[in-house]
Amino acid sequence: MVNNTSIVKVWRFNPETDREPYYKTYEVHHEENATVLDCLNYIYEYLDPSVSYRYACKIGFCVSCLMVINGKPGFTCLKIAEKEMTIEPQIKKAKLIKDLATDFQDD
Amino acid sequence: MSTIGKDHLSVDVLIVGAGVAGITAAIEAQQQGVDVLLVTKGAFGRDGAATWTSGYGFQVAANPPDSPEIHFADTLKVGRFMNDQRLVHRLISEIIRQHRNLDEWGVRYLKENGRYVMMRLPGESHPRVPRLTIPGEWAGQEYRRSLTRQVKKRSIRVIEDLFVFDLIATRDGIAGAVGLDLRKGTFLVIQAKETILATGGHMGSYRTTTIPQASGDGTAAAFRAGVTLTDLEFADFYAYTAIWPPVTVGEIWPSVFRYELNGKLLNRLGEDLREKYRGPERVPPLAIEREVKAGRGSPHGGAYLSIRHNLREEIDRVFARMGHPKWLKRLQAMRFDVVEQDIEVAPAGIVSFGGCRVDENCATGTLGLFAAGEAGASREGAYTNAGNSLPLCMAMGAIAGREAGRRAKKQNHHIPVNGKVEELCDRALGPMLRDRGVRPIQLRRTIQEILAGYGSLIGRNEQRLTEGLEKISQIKKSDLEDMCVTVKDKTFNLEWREALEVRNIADVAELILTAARARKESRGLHYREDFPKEEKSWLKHVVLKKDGEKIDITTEPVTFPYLSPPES
Repeated sequence: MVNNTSIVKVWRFNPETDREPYYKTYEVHHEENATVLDCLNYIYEYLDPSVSYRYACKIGFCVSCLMVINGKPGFTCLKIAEKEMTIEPQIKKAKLIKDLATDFQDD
Repeated sequence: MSTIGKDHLSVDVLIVGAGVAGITAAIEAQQQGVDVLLVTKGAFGRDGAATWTSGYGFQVAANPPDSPEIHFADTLKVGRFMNDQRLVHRLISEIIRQHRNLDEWGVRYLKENGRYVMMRLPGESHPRVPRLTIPGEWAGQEYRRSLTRQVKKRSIRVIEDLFVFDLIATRDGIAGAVGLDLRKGTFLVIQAKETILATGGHMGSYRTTTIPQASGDGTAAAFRAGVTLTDLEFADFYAYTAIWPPVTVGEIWPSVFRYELNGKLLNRLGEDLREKYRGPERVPPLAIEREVKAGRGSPHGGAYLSIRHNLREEIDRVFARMGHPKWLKRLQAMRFDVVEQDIEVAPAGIVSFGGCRVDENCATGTLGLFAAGEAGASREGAYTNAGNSLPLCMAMGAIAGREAGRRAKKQNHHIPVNGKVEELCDRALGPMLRDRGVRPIQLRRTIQEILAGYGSLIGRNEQRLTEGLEKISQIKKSDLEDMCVTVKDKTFNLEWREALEVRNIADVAELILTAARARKESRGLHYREDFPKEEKSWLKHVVLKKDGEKIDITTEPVTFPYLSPPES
């Protein structure tokens, strides 16, 4: 039942090699009601394993997967994927490591 | 890329893994006045199985007439007397102490007239799980917050995103560990007088699991370092894990349906599985698997968990009391009506019972190495009751931390074997240097298929286990040696991390199948088609140890210093 498609624009920045951040766009196929995290996992498994991001509990508690989705902070594990999405790291409160992966220190 | 930097650190006690066992170990070790380092492969306080335990899930015999003795007896009964009694006896009293700490550290327990308000889960002689003043789905977070706050308050040193992939062997023990610093893409060599593995379980080696990141990192590293392991054939597969609706796969919220709404486990024909089965197959995970195998499973390969026999008002009341949990809101957003549309559940790997063989101090018998939580064996025996894993794992952490701290004060650093660290780092770097080969994620899927096909709950028999073992050993010889990380970035390289996990999963899968083949009886969820009965003569541990490229298999009788198993 993989009959939905999302166009996912991902914020990328590798401090090792990049001078400036940039966006990379992926076409993701998924089931109805798939989450934003499902889309990232699809990108990692099938399209581009170089995307860095974090997640752990997948049920909205651990906060690892907090990112900015279409301009709004949210848990990617809970948020249902939209047809078009821009995903950016949550760097207002956390320090960037690479792409969407950040270092949360406060709780 | 030709070389990778190596940093060095030296500590008294190194604790690998920052779940409930690791954090508790760090707190207790530090109280012994030694230098402590706590490392985790994820973000601190956000990783580990126990930290998001749903439901209240923490058994403690804190309300008389319940007592540690009764809790001890209940634990042995469900463990089918495979538990290490000396260890469990210490753990049960330690739980009382740790629970007092948690209360003092601000866990919001619900009390009435000075007594804890307890709920009763299956297998408890008395209600033994304290309720909190907050909804049950937040319980794991409550424990996590209290514990991580203590780590900060006590200024315990923590390193995050450090994947410890191997232990450093000396001539007669362990001298510390070596890890990949995921943030920098460099190696960190940690010399330690005592090392505690609190790395969690290995249920992520199964395809259907509640905890994919639990890749048996400690158990596999210990195995490669020649540490003695046991009980690998035993594990808990949680029957009430969601498989439908699809985006909730692997989540354990259906436990609410079972325990709060008396949910009925039904097959495709509407038969109630808890009424249908008697004997060893009555336990829900085996009953569900049996029905699926017989073609009577629910459409997506499990069983229905139905709450239709409740009035809608009653269901709404229960959800309201729970504060309308997040998972419910998500199902509502998907327009999935939990009353009208039956959800489906299937057993998923949730807790490992096998790992390093430990004594009542949680010491492994290999000098300088302790194991706590799921990385250590024989705490729960062959099976467990809901809500018992978390406190037992925490108690193991406390005992291991205290004892490691004591021992570290009295000794010097061990001397690693010459060239050992370089050899371990070269192996970890291997997949990064290769330009072609199997991707880690493909290999993970293959190993998961093998475990599902040859080591699943129903269908374990001599022939299938032998076939599965041949397949795993073939993979270890070929694909695993050729594994290739296609991404060459050093910073936060998820594919490299996965390569290290996959190596561990491969080792663990081989150990599980080996132990399951050796145990020629059925006990707990280890069910052998060719030996369907529980046999008194099998009250012994299957003990595994690396012997060159082979696994040395022996058995050791279980001893009963406190409580003998019933005659029949």
